[in-house]
Amino acid sequence: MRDADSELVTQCRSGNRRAFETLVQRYERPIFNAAYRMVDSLDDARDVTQTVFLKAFEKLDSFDPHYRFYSWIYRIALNESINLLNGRKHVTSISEEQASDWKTPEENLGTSQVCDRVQDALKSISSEYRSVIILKHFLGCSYSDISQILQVEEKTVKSRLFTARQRLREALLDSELI
Amino acid sequence: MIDERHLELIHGEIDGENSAEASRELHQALDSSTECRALYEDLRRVSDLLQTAKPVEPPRQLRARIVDALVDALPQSQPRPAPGRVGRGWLSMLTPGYAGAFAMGLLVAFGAVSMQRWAGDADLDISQLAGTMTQHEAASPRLLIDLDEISGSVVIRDQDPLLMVEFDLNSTGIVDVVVTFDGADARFNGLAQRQGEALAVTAEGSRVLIKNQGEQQLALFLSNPRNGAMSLDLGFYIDGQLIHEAGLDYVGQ
Repeated sequence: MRDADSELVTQCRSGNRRAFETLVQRYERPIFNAAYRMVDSLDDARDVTQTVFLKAFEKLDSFDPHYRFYSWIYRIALNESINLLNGRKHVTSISEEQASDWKTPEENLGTSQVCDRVQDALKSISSEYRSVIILKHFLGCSYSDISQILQVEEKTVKSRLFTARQRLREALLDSELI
Repeated sequence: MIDERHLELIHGEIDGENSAEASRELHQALDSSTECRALYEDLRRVSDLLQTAKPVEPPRQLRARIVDALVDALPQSQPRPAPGRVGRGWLSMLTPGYAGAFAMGLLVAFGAVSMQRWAGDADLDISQLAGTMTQHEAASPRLLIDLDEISGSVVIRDQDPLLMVEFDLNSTGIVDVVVTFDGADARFNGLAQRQGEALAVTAEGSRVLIKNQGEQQLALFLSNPRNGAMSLDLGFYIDGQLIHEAGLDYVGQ
């Protein structure tokens, strides 16, 4: 499926809106999920996902077809999520403890206790480490993919993944899931 | 203390990046080092726990929101069709030959079409339309349908003085799509089909029934001489049971 992305991008560039809609259909779910894991809010994930596609469309001319489209759009998704998190730091007025308990009814109904704890553990590590975990474990990216998405060397990807997993392991130990 | 090499092998195994040889090397280490094995099992557990976090489904309307926002962004960023060039398959039908037939209120559809009120009712000079059909495309209200039973889109395109309601649907079985429109001067003016086999299209008053099966692309043409606002209510039925309702608004000019 991903091989066909470049063809769709070419069609988008020539003004075929339907091709872009196909890309939206293809990547809406992984991007929404990645954003949700990053920002820990369904509403924010929805806004991030919308922004990602609009930015992708606006910047389509700058996309280098030698690269993989999904690497490119996942990078936009992570950057948008991190931008949102950075913005959120300035407006947060409630305590971290309150924030972690403040969930929408949808979240309360839709996730099991274990899933909640996993999400809480993810939330407890920095966005730099969270990014690599999401790329590897939720989006199924290879070291090479992650290297391209984060624009760092593969050895840096490995190093970040090692540390990210260790931090996550400690957080899951604290929550008695391990 | 676990050495760097074994750490790399442990993470590589969890990530599915180890070669067969590296994998063998790791398993030898796991057999001989309890420390290595404990870490490997912990990290495997971390990976398994991450897998238990089920994917979250995007809100149903998200895709429609994205596409709508994209449509708003189009005039600045997307190449427009050359002047006088008709860009869409539908519109290529409106060559003068088709337009003449269309102006007589001819229904162009395959399958059974029942017209009870509007046959011969067209009162528009359709010949003026050829080449002007994409002018207002950027502001086209759009509805995306994403159900198990039926999916696709419905778009209202302003083709002054007509409104074209374009259906691009795909259903697994027969789905009745009931379209009800309200607008001060709105009247049903015709039907065209680009793809699929319409089992039946029935129009009566301000209500049109489309029986959809498989992939169909068809368009309803509504006269709207004063370019007034119009609302479309859509109901999707299987065996008489409503499975989905949606609305689509044209704000007028």
